[in-house]
Amino acid sequence: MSDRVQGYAEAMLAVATAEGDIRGISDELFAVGRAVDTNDALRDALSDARLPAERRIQIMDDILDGKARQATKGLVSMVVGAGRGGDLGKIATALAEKAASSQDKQVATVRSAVALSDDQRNRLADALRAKLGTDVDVKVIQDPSVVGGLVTTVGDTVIDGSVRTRLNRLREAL
Amino acid sequence: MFALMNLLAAEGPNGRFIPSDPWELFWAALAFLVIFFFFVRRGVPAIREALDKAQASAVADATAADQAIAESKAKVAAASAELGDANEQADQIIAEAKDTAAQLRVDAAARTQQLVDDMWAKAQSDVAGMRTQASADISAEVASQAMGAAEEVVRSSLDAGGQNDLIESYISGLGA
Repeated sequence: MSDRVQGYAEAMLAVATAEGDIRGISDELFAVGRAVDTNDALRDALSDARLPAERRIQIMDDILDGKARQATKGLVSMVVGAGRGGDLGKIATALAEKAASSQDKQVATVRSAVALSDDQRNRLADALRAKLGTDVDVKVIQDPSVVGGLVTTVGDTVIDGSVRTRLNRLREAL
Repeated sequence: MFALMNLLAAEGPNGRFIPSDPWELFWAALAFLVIFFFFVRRGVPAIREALDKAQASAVADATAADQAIAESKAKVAAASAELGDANEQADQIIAEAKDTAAQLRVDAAARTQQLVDDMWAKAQSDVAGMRTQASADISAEVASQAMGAAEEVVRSSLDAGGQNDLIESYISGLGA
C-alpha cells in the first residue's frame, strides 16, 4: 500500500488508541471501507473533486448517523474532507492490519451471509488461533453471495465453508 | 513473185526483165560487190560480235536462270524441310499438350477428390464438435437451471436457525 494510505492508517490508529477503543473503531471503519469499495456510486461521489468537501462529508454523516461512534464519524470526515474518500477501503484495511499487529495479531476477514454475534466472533477467533497458531482479529463482512456458512481469509490462507462454494462444486460435478 | 517481176519488167524501157543497157548490170554488180565487201568487212563482224554478245548474254542469262532455279529449288527444299520440321514440332507440341492436359486432368481430379475428402472430414468433425458442444451447452444449461433452483431452495430454507447451525458447524469444524 502507498505511504499515504499507511499514513492515514497510522493517524487513525493513534486516534483509536487515544479513544481506548481500537477494536470498535477499527471494526466500524472496516465496515465503512467495505461499503465504499462495494458501492461504485458512493466511491465516485466521495472521489469527485468537483463536489464540495462539505457535501461529501455530509453524505457520510447521513449514512453513519446513529450507526457509528463519534470518533469513527470524525475519522471518516477527516479522510473524506481531505479528498481521499475513495481510499477509505484501503485505509480501513491498513488500519485493521496495524491494529491487529499492535496486539500481535493477524486480521481474519470473515465473510458471512448474516451477522455474527460477539460470542460467535470470540469462539471463531479462538478456533482460528488453535488451528493457525496465531491470534487473530476477526473482521466480519456481510456478503449475501456466501448464501450460508463462512469464508475466512487470514493472510494467504482461505478456509472456505460456504454454501456458495458447495453449490459451485455441485455445479461443476453436474 | 512472178507477177511482181513481170510488173517491174513492164516498167523497163524495152519492156523486158533484163535491162536494155548492159552497163546497168555492170554498175549494179559493182555496187553490189562494194556493198557486199563493206558488209562482209564491217557488217558481218559486227553482226557476229552482236550475235556472240547476244549468245553470251543468253548463256549468262540461261546460267543465271539455271542458278536461280537451282537456288529456288534449294529454297523450296529448305522450306519444305522446315515445313516438315515445323509440322513435326507441331505434332510433338500437340502430343505434349495432350499429355500435359491429360496429366492436368488427372491432377485436378485428384485434387478435387482430396478437397472433397477434406471437406467431408471437416464437415464430419464440425458436426461432431457441434454435437459435443450442443451436448455440453445443454448439460451446462441444465446444470445452471438445476443449480439455480437448488440455490433458491437452499436460500428459502436457510432461516436464522439454519444460518446459525452452519456457522456453529464451521466453528466446530475448525477446532476438529
